[in-house]
Amino acid sequence: MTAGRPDRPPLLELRGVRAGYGEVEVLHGVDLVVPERCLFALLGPNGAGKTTTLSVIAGLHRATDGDVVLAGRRVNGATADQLARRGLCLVPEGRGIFPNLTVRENLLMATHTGSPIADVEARTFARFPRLRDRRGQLAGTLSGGEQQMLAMARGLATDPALLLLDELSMGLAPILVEELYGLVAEVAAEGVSIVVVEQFARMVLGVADRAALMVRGRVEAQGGPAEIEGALSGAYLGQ
Amino acid sequence: MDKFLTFTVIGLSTSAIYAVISSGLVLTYTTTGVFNFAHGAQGMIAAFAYWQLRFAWGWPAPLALATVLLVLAPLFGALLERVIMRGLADASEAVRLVVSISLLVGLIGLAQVIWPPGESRPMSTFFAGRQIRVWSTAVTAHQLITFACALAVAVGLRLLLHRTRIGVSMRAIVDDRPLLLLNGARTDRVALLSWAIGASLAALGGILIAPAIALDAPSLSLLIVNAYAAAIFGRLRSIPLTFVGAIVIGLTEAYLFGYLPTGNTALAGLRLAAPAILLFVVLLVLPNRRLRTGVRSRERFPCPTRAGALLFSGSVFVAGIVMATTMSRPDLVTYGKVFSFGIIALSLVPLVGYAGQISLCQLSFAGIGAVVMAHVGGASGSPLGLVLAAVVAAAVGALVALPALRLSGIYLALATAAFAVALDRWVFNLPAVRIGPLRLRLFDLGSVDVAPLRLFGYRFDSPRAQMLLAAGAFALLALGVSAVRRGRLGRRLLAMRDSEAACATFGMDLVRTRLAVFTLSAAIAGVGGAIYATQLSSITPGNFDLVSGLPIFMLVVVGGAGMVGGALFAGIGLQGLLPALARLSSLLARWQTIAPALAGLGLGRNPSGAASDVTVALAPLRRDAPVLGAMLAAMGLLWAGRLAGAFGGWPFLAGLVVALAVAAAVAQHRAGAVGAVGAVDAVDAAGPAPAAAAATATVPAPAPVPAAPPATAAPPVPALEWMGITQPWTADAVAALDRVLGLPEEGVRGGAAHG
Ligand SMILES: Nc1ncnc2c1ncn2[C@@H]1O[C@H](COP(=O)(O)OP(=O)(O)O)[C@@H](O)[C@H]1O
Ligand SMILES: [Mg+2]
Repeated sequence: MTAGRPDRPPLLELRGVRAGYGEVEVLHGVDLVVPERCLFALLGPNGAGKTTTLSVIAGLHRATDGDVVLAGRRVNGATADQLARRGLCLVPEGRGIFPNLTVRENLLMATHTGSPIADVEARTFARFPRLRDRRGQLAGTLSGGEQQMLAMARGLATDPALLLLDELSMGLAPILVEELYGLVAEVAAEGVSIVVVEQFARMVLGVADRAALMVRGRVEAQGGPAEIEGALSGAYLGQ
Repeated sequence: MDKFLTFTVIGLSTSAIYAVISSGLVLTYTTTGVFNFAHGAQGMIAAFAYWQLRFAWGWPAPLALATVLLVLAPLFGALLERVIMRGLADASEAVRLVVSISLLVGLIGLAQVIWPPGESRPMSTFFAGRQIRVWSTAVTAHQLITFACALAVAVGLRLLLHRTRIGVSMRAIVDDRPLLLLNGARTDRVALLSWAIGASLAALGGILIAPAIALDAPSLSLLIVNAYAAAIFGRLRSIPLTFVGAIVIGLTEAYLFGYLPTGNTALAGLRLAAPAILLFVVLLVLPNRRLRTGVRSRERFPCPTRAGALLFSGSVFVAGIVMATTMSRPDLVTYGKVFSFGIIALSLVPLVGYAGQISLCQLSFAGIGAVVMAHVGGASGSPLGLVLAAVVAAAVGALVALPALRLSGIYLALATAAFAVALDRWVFNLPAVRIGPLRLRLFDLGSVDVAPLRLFGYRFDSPRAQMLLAAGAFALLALGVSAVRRGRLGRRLLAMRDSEAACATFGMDLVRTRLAVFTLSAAIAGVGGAIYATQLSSITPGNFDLVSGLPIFMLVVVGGAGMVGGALFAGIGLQGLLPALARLSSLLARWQTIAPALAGLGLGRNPSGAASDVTVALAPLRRDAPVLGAMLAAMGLLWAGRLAGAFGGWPFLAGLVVALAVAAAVAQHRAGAVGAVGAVDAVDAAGPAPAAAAATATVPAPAPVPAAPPATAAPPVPALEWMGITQPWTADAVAALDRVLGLPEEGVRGGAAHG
């Protein structure tokens, strides 16, 4: 899989993005380029600002400075729901589900982006047969792995243009993480651009096309997985 | 048995109405987080609108119903959401509360403007006279329709919330609003729909219940207290539990009507107050809430300095003297209440402003003070009355606070509102009761006379003397309240407002602190009520009911609840500005009940209130001795001219205002020319300062400034909580911090950590 054609703008580009909470700035000018049809890994230690970066991209959080550019268009002011309907899908950190809604109702919420419910259900249950048996169950009572599958289902079943996955592996058994990343690679192979965010999982570098390392609110390195692999250990040892 | 069945049917039909109303309330609260105090008032307006269409204009019932329920009410609800509620997303709870209470008061005012009270507006039930027999009792067609409506609402809501996408979205919002946005849902449409449905349900309830009680704006609006109780059963979340609550409350009310002995005046009121008492009880038995860990609040209030407080109180008293010497007797009677209302409003400053607790029953405490003054003060106006007014009000305040200590936010507001309703519907209407040797007299089933206060042989019996008394008492109490803010208790209250959990961790006794502030505040309200009563000279329960008390709360928050100036603002607004406007034009007089509501609705923009703006605007003047002196001299001349009869009251007032405005502008200009704004001033003017300070702080040393300001200019100090974070921690910052917190200035580097 190669990066998109050179004559087209990258799918996602951040230029000097600053953002913060209250008066504490957390992102001090983030630059990032995610080409089209690419599985991109954003790595960094806890507190580096990865989640904040994704929130800014998804329109949940406002950048105080800089540009967020999606497919060549600056989208700084767009709201989260507008971006979602235009094909951006963020599966947030923790469990991205509605715990007091049933599995079916959770899937129903995924149809706000325009896919018919029948499609969403069919594709979800084809990928995650375990969820089919739990259709009527409250999502909050599912196991951790099933909850994460349900959260991912939205990204897999609604055909997003850009899928953002925040710490998929958090709190899950390694074998399950491997299974989920297998799925991510499959979806990427179908041509969906994906940004995965992880803290420690070097394993994502194995499937990624490109990667970036984020430390203390800045992107320290950006390039091929091998380059980032080398930069990683330094970052975690707090060079 | 017959009787039992009859009252069960009556109770269930009331329950059905409560269920309809409260399910609308729950719907809007869960999906948008705004507790709509005006929900009942929306139902009231709808009932009036229906009456207008159906009975005044003679439309056929189905057409009138459809117009109100399917067009007018949903439109109104949607409009509210669009125009008002949407802006409240990140406002504090007190601000949200004030906005919805303003709406309540405004709607009552509006209804009274359009449909003046006093006329009879008969509203017959649906299919009047038709009924069926069930066993041994009759069920009217209206009751059957009511049951059918409740059933339809229950089924309809169930279908909506579980079978439709937008309905499921409403439940999803409760779970996780940002996630719903990430799903691509248009949450604003969801909110719009839930407000539209909520308004329709309120309207349906209002139309169904209006024939049973008279078409009267305040009582229909407060009917909501009963429905609130039902909603609290469902913890403002569960609609099925809300229905259960409605049944409990409707039946309780009906059985009280049926089985309490009639002819006993003491018990007659109890029936009316029963839902309020139930609400209070339900709130208390709700499972313990967690301690709050920090509230996000947009409000910032500077700490008053001793000199500033003295200046404020001195100015108030001098203003009182000027008013007393220049006003006519009727004017003195009217505007004298500025200060007594100011005192009642002042009682909210420590409670709402410092401690962040909400109370809607301060006027009830004032009523208690008034009653004590009337009876203990007696015909001679003994000062013992004033003292006991404070003591008894404080005791009652503690009594209310004790059970309510666990509550906060909206629940505390509801509990205090329930208490106020219980007092004005029941306790204040009791005949004299005898408890052992004690004979408690209240309003003696009507009105009581209050004699003027007699102090050291002097009787404050003229309106002039009473105004001076009230102004002096306000000035003294304002000094006291400012001192509390600077003292130990004030710091504890502020800490508690910011984070109860942190205070508990530090071993602070939250119960004692909350009890102390409630007691203090009730005592102040009691004194205010006593003085207000001597000015009124004859008091009735109506002077002290919940609806009259709400504007005080609203205006104190609008004025700035954290500052004594906010209390003065409330007093001036309610007892000065409104009567003055009413006198200017009779048209304005009709609209005057709506004015405070408009002020409250505007609050969303400026959560710190007007008083802090005024403080900021006047800060340069305070430090500019020559200009200040000139202004005072000009005002003194005006006063002399007025006393000599050179001109009338209005030119005099206008002259004063112009003098103040000109002086403030000149001082502002001079301060701007001098250029150096000291560190202390930046803290003093804490309102807009943080943004500016942050801007300068994050852009370190803008070097290429042509004419650099003098090097001696102190760097701007950021808002307190950002000291040392957005700027280095300096000795100046420590000193400023000490000043703001009212600590003795230590000036020890790093030694401020124990403050
Ligand atoms: N809601 C918030 N309020 C204040 N600070 C926050 C908030 N969320 C995150 N932060 C701070 O922002 C920084 C970056 O956080 P985050 O983006 O969650 O990092 P990561 O996802 O890389 O672990 C951290 O220092 C964190 O403390
Ligand atoms: Mg994170």
